[in-house]
Amino acid sequence: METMEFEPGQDITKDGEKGEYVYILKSGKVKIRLGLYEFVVDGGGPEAFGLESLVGENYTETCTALENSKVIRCSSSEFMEIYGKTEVGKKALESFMRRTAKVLGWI
Amino acid sequence: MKVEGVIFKSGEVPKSLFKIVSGTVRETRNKTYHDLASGDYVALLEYLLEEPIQENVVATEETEIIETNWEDEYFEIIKKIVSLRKVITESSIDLNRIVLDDFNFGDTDVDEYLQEVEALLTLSSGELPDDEKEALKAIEALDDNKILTKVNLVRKFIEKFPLEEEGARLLIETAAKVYIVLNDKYVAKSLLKKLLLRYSDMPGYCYEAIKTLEGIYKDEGNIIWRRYEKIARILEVELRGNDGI
Repeated sequence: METMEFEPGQDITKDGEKGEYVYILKSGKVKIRLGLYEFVVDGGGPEAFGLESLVGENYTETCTALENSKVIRCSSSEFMEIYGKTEVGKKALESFMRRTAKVLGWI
Repeated sequence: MKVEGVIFKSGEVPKSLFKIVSGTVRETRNKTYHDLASGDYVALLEYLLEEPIQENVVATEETEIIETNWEDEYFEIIKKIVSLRKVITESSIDLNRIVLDDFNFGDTDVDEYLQEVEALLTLSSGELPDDEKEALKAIEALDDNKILTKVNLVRKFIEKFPLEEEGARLLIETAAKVYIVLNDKYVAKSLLKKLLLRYSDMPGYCYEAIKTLEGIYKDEGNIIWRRYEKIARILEVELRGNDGI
């Protein structure tokens, strides 16, 4: 597990690429692109993305830093061990579902 | 537990997460329903977001469900959401480059598809006058209880008078009647897709066909409707630039 810094315009995850890590946003602002939709999240969350990696799937979203952003990068086992059953894990699942529902036109 | 009928009522915030063991559960959001089957979670969205159910969530047959929770099902829930996202990808189109395949003609190529439609539409025979006006009269004189004859005559009209705009109008009108009177979605969709193929240079009629297809797929609970919605939006903008339909 390590803290990483991304500059504006840098991609953190790319849609279609092999999902290897889950990222938890600590500070800054990130744009998440799913299909034709874009969502902006900030470090006030906690927000996490890259949950696809937990089930061995490719990323389905492209996450790009909009400003200098700090994230914690975790492997699947680290994420589950530390955050899986906490509020961070719950919030991550909720946001993942919310973005999907938005694109599907459910909400 | 075994259930049938309403599982969650409209306005209720689900406090429990249920997984389907067997049976079918129907969820409806924004007037579009979709059916859940074994392995799916009931009202997963509302449970996770702690939001009220839009419309009753109903077991449409005897259904067995078990209570679980997000902590124990973490990986399975992610898998379900990822599979929903795959549906989004499959039903998406490149707005800058619409291709024939976006119209969901199925796995067969267009020629085969047309042959299939033609075979299907040869359901009843009828003679069509050689004069165009007389032919139109003959078609329009048919009652709704002879709708299949009408379908067949429309097909013949298009063959006899391929350049006539009336063919497009007849296809739209007949498709709508087939859908309303017979509730036959397959034939209605076939007629509308035939219009898209034969009269692709008539954007006004294509727009009407696409809107109707959007409605039919929506009624079916088939997410393909989103594709037609997007195509209709683009056509609408183009048509506005061309002084409307």
